[in-house]
Amino acid sequence: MLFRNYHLVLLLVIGIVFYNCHEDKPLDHDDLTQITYDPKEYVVQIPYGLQELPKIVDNPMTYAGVQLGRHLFYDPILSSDSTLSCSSCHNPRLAFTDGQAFSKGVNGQIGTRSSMSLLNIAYFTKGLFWDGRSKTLETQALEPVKNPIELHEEWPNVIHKFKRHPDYPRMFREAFGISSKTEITQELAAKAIAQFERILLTGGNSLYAKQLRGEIFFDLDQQQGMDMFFNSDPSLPDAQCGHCHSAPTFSANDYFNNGLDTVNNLTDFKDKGRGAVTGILLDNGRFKAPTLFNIELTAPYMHDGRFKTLDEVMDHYTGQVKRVANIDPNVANLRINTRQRKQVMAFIKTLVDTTYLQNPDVLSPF
Amino acid sequence: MRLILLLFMVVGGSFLRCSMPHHQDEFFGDVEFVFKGRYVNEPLVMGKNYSYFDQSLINFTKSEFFISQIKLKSVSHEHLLTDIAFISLTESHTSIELSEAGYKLKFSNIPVDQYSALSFGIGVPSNLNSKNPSQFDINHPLGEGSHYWSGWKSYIFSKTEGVMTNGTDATNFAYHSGFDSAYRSFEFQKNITVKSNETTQIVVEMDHQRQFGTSTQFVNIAQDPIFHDGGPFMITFMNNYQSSIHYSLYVV
Repeated sequence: MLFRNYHLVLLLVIGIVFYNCHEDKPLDHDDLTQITYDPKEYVVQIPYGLQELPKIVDNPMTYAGVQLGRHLFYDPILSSDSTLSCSSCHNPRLAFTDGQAFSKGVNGQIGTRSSMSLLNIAYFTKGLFWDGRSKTLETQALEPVKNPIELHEEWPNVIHKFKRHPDYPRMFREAFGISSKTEITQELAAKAIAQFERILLTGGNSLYAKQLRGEIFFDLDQQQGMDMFFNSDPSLPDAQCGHCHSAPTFSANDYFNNGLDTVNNLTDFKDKGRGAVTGILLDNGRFKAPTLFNIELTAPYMHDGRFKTLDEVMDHYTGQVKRVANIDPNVANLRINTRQRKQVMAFIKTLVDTTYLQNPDVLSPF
Repeated sequence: MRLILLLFMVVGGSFLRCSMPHHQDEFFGDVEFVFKGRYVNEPLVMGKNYSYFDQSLINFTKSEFFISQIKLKSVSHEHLLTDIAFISLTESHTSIELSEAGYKLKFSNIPVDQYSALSFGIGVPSNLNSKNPSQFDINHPLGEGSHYWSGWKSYIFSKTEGVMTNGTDATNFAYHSGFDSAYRSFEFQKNITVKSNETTQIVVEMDHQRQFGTSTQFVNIAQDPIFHDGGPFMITFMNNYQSSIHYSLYVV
């Protein structure tokens, strides 16, 4: 009996010691250092014919970073009521647009501009959004979350949700090497989204690219349409498209007034566009020229989605251009006949390339 | 004896070292180009109306160009500052103050020397003009698609755009040059001293009226508001462009 008691006392002592040890070193629930951080470079495949993209020194591309960005992009956790994600307005099947003239935010709030395609967004080095108000993808990604007519959420709330999430703390650790959940920030979230957006590339498998590579020949309409687009055949009229939609990205990476609205004074534009950002009068009514890659998928068109079809866009450029003081001089009512108009359209349709949808890194993980 | 010789060498070496500049910096200075758009004697401001040769009003909405092969030449050698740079006066000339300040392009670590000439080209030299933007990084001056005209297979060497108003008639103009034949070379013979740890400033002024000719022979903008081909009009314009450029020198 004494022997049995001795054992009981011993077990009790050991139990107390273990308990006390546990008390002395409580488990740090924020600690992430047990998770392996082994970043591997994500090598972006540049589509044929497009320029090399520079490495972003303060946000190098890694597999873990792209994967985290992909999850955040498609996750409604970023919105205040968990109903909308970035992909709500940037649907991959619509070339990362939403098919609406004005995008809908949380609570059905209607925005003021049409959603822009994110394809080849890495090439927009002179500002993002229709008016260029964000200089980098990292700063751009912060904006929609706090915009009351978009995701209408506060970043501190989002960070709180990330910290409680079963996967995101680990994914932030794997992407950025943070040691603790407390190091999760909106800037890291934006960096991850930016990394994901930099892989949204297109164009290398378009008919246009195949024709450049010599894999196919254009038919007569496509060829003459291209010649008019780029004004490369003096015997054909100049369709003037290539000034604002320059190859290889089919965007001039710049801001233009393309004669959409008549104003008596440059201060009278309802939406001042670039001018609201720069404060320069001549920039009023100027908007970014979007890429024409996959333009067939991104209706409606213009910053306010006023044109429902590409035919309506062509109607504009062949007879409805309004002359204002800062209209781009290369935008004028085109003198092309019906056949030539169809040929320009035939060429523009060679710019469709949806093979990005075959890249599993691009599609929703949910 | 050997020990004494060795001692002399060490002491002599130390003296020699002391007499040399302590830092590499002392062999180098900076050269800063300041590009200033002008309209005759006035600072060029985008959107501001100026009097044209025929008393019409002209204003500018874009002025940009490539500058290439910028070299400083001395008796013994020449120093290449850059093979290509893109200059845009459009956003740097939106007020009188900004126009007077100009568009700055600075080169550091230029060897100290008494240079006797400055040379550069306006446009893209043929060895680079045979390439296209897809052969460059997007941040390289030649990687930007809007500086390239696929229909020509040439970079756009210069763009001058604006509006000509005559009474109630307004004409938007866009003069874009390209092709190897549009390339214009400059060489200015003048002493340019690059001093250690100092910035030599070279102010390059471009008279935008002179781009359109002279009072006796000038472009009829209303009649020819656009060129973006390599025709005779463009050649004449680029000859005028060449005459519109002059420079002055300062040491800051």
